[in-house]
Amino acid sequence: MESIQQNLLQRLADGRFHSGQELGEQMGLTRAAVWKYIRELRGLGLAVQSVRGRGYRVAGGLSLLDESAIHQALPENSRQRIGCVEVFTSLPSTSSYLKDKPVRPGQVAVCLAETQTQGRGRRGRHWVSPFAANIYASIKLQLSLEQNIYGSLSLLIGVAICRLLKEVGIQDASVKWPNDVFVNNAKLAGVLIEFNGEANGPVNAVIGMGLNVRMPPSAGEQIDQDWIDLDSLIPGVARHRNRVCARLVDTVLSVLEQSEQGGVAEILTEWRELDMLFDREVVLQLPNRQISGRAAGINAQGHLLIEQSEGQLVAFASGEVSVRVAS
Amino acid sequence: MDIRKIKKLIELLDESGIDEIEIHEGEESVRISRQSNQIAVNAAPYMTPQVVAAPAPAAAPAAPTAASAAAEPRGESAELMKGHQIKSPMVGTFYRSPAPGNPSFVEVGSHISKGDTLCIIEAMKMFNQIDSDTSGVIKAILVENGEPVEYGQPLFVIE
Repeated sequence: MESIQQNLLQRLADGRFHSGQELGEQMGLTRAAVWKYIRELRGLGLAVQSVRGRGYRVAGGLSLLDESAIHQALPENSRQRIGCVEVFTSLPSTSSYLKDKPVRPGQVAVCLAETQTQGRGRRGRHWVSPFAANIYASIKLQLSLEQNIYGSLSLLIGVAICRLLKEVGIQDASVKWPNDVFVNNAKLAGVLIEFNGEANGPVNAVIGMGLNVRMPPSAGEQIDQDWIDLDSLIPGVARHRNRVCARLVDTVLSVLEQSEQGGVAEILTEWRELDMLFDREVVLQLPNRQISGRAAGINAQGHLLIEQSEGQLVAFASGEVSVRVAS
Repeated sequence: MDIRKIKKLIELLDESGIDEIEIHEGEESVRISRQSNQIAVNAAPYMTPQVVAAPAPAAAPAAPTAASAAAEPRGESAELMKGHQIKSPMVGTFYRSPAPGNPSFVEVGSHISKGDTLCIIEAMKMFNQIDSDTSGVIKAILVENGEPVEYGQPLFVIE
């Protein structure tokens, strides 16, 4: 089932018109069956045009995720650490998929999807996941409680994404505590980390990452904050989505490796240089109250420091922080 | 400071009759104190250069401490705390449901099996799903939804 769908996608990826008859002959399907699969793709959110007498097309073409292209673009040491990279046309969520997948200590599992039907943000919020447009990736690994990576993982991943952006030529990315990645005051990437495991045992961590590559305006309208995508910063980069995926995975793995070798403090120093909120007036929304003050960086645990009154710093482990708008 | 050291210190405190330990190590310091039946960790090594004006490191709390569990009268609470305790593995915010508006994972009186999810602790957008390491009945839920919790703070009592 999935392979017919993928076959059809690959034919439409060139952005040209294909008649129902032509597609049917090539794929060994009736025209009615082709129509059924086209409808399925539309159901996933893909804009397939159909024009009488010419056929179907995806305007602008598609750069589809390709397991082997991603695998090949990874350096050897990362390939050894990753059992396999799994790519799906559609998943409820890449992180939910990996949650039940076992990983051995020292190994990581990687999963990507063209679209997510239940992409998640913080506390049940929806992560807008239009088809074949952005990157939705999750990485699963096992952490021991003793590793101090556990406490600061969230910030480490924010740094990893900024490193990737530097590598592709974006110098002015910054991080909003703990790890939302911003460029020109608009959100480019988000991270959601989930841990599970029994008390006192090793912890499974699933790192979910969403990176806007080429957000269709219709999908962008559903996002409740300012956003930006990679293709508007580096025109044409959307064509190299597989390479960007490979670099993203590799950068995360190298940050994890650096952390495992005692480099957490070093990476947190790098985080401080990326701190978008430093010295700005902020509001921290906690579940049951609100804190206002001046953002004063992070402590060694990665907790947000807020100066509420002169010289008095308080560290916060949770909450949603935003720049205070002068009224 | 190494989390292992902090764990050791907590164990040390737990075994002894001491109410509070404070350790300084270079620029870092940690104070662990016992408040009624609750252990609160105040780790506050402010290492950022801009915080010169901050008070002595150990004086400021690392995170707002939860008072709900500590507020219980001692005698009553000792009885309540009897049973298998599930403690928080990290500093963060305690959530009883997977998302706002969703039903709670468990209530007092719920029968649970080993591996059932009890709550979520969130810190820095990391959501830690806490699964029960035992089967039984929820006897007490010691923290309110949305309240901050400390490392090692008891969350549930199961019997």
